[in-house]
Amino acid sequence: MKLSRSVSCLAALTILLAACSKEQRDQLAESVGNASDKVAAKAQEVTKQATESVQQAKEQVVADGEAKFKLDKEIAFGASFINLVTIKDRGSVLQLRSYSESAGESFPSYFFQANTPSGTINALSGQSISGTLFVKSDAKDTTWMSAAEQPVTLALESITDGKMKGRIASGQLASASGQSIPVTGTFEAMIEGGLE
Amino acid sequence: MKRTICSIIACIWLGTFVVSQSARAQRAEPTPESPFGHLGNAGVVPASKGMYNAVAKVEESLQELTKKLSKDGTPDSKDMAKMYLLVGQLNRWLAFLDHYREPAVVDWRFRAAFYHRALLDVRSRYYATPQASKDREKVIKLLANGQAARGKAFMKTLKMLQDGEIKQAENSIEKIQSEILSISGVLHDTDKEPFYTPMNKVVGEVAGPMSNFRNREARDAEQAERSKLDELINQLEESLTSGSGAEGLQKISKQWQLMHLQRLRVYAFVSTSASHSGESSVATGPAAPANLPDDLTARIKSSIIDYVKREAGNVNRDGLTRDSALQSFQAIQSVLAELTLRADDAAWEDALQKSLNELAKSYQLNSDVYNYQLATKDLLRWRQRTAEEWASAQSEPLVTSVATAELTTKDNFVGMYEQNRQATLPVIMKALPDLIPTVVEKLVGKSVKSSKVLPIDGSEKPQWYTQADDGFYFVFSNNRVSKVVLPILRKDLLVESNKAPLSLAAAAALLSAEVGASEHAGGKLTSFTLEGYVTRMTNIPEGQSSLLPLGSLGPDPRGDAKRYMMLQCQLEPTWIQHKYYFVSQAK
Repeated sequence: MKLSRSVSCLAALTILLAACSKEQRDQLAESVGNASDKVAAKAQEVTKQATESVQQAKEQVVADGEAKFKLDKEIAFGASFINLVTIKDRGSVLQLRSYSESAGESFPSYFFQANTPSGTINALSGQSISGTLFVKSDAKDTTWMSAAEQPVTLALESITDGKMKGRIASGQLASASGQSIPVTGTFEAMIEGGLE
Repeated sequence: MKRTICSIIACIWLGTFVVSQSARAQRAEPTPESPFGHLGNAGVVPASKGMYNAVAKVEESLQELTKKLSKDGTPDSKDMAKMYLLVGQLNRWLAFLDHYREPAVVDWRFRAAFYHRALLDVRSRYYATPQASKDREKVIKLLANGQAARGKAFMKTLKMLQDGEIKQAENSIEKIQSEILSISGVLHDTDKEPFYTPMNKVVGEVAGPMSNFRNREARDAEQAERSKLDELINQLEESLTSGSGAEGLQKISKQWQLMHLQRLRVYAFVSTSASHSGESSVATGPAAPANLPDDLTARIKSSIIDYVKREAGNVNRDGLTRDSALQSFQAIQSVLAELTLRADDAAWEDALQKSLNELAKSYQLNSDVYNYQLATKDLLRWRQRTAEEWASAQSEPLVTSVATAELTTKDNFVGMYEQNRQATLPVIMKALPDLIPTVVEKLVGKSVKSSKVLPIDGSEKPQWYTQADDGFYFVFSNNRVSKVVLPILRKDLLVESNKAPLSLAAAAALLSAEVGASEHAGGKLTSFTLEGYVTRMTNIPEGQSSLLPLGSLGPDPRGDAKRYMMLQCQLEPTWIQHKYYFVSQAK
C-alpha cells in the first residue's frame, strides 16, 4: 500500500521532470543550432516515453535508478542519472545526479562531477573516479560539499541493463557551519546519452 | 550660554572623519589633507573652488577665535569686531556656495549656527566688561563720521548695478559691509540700526542680480556637463553601429564606462537644482533627472547583442582554422565577460549567451560550445547555490540594516536617517563634528556585510571596494578570492593556459575570480569617511566607474541632493562570497 502510493507520487514526478526536460532541451537546442538537433530528437523521445501510462511510468521509476547516502543522516534519492560529456581537446566530464535536468530538480538532491580522460562510460566501469559531490536533503537544509583538497571518490562497479552500479568509496563533506563529516553510499544510475 | 562655548570647544572641528576603532571614545585629530573635515568640493561650477577655499579659511579663523576666547574668557573690542566680521562673511559666502549647489554648504550652515550662538555668548560676556560702554561711544562716533562717505559709496554701488557691472557692485558693497561689521560688533542692536538700514538696502539691491548671476553660472556648468555627456553618448552610439571585431567591442566597453561616469556626474549635479528651481518637492524628487535618456542603458545593451549577431553574420570562413575561429570567438566573449561583471544584469547575460551561440555556429564551434555548457552549467549552479547558502549562514547583517536601526532620527536623538525616509541615503541633519561621534559609536567595530565587491583599477597596491547604491561602500585590501577560487574554477571549467572557457558564464566566473570581484564581503567596519553624495558622484575616478553598475544611476536622491551623504568604510573582511565559492579570510 505504502509502496504503491510512493510509486504513484514518483510517477507523477517523473512526468513533471520529463516535461521540464523537454522545454529546456528545446531551448538549448534552438539556440545552439544544428548540433543540438540530435538532442531535441532525444528529448522528444524521452518525453514521449515518460508521458504515457502510470504503468509505464512505474517501469520508468525503476529505470531511473536510485541512491542512498549516509551523511549526518541517511538520505534516499528516488532517481539517479549518469552521463559523460566529451569536449574536444579537453577530455570528458562525468556527471552523476538525482535528476535528469536541473529545471526539474526536487529534494533531496545530489550532484557529482569529475574530470576524466575517458571517452565512454563503459570504459569507466570497474574504475574509481574522484570529483566534487554536493548533497542537499531539503530546500531549507544546508548544501554539503566536498572541498577541493578532499575530493569524493566513487567506485563505479558494474553496468547492468543500462544502469551503472557503484558506491562512494571515500569522501568527506563540509557544511556552511564548517562541520565536516564522512559520506558513504551506494547508487544505481540510469545511463543517459550525452552528446559525444 | 556656557554650554554653547563648551560645546564649540568640545567640537573643535574635527579635522578628518576617518575615525579608527581605537578612537571610539575620543575625537579624531585633524590631518593636513583634511584640516576642516567637510563634505568636499563637488567642483562642477568652476568658480566654486575659490569660494570654497575662502569659506574654509574663514571657518579656520573662527575656530581659532572661539578657542582663544574660551581660554582667556575676556573678549575685547577687537575680538568682537573680528568675530562679527567672520560670522558675517561665513553666512554671506555660504549663500554664494549654495547657488553653486555645493553639498558642503549643508554642513557648514549647521556650523555657522554654532558660531552664531558662540558670538552671542562672547557678546554677552563683553557687554559685562567696563570697557564695553566706552567702546560703544567711540564706535558710534566713528560710524557717524563715516556716514556721508558711505552714502556716496552706496550711490556709486547702485550706479554700477545700473550699468550692469554687478560683480563690481558686489565687491563694492562687500567692502562697505566688512568695514561696518569690523567695528560695529561692540554695539547693541538698537545702536546699529541707523547705520545698518541704508547698508542693507543696497545689499538687497545687489543680492538679486548676483543670485541670478551665480545661478546662471551653475546652469551653464550643468549645460556644459550635459553637452559632454551627449558627446560621449554620440561617440558610443557611433561605435555600436559602425564597430567590428573584438577590438571594436573593447572600444565600446571603454566608451560606455566613460559615459557612465559622466552620467553619474550629471545626474548627481542635476539633482541639486531642485531647491533652486522650486520645480520639485521632497515627495516628487528632482524633476531634472527625468530629462536624462531613460532608455539609454536598454538601448546600449540591445545594441551590444546586435553587435555580436552582426559579427556572427559577417564571419568569413575562407581559410578559417579551428584555432583562429576559437581565438576570434573567445576574444569577443572575453570583452562581454567584463561587461557582464560591470553591468550586473542576469537577463542581459542570458541574451548575450544566445547571441554568442549564433557566433559559435558561424565559426562552426557550436558542438564545442554546446558540450561545454552541458559540462559546466550544472556544476556552476551548485557552486553558486552553495556559496550563497554558506554566506547567508554567516551572522553579519547588511551594513544598512545596522545603520538604519541604530542611526534613524527619533525623539531627542538625531542620527543620519530621517524618521520618514524619502531616500535610501544618509542625510546630514546636524554638523558633522557632532554627527561623527554618534556614527563612530553606532557603527565602528561592528561586524557587517557589504554589497558587491569589485576591484579598484589603477591603485598602487591591490584594493577592492563594494558597490555603493545604498550610500555605503567598503574599501579593503585583503582578498584571497583569486588565490582560493581560481585554481578550483580552472579545474571545474576545463581551462588551461591555451584553452579558454567556451561560455559567457564561465568566462565571467574566471575573470571575477582573477580580479577578486565578489558578491558580498563580511567583516569588521574599522573606520569611515563621510562624503557628500554629490561630491562623490561628481568626482569618481576613471578606474572606479563600477562604484555603481553600468547603467545604474544609483540611489534616487529625493528633494535636494546636497543633503545626502555617503560613507566610505574600511573593512577587515573575515569572509568573501565569490559568486561560485565561499572564501574564509581566516587563513
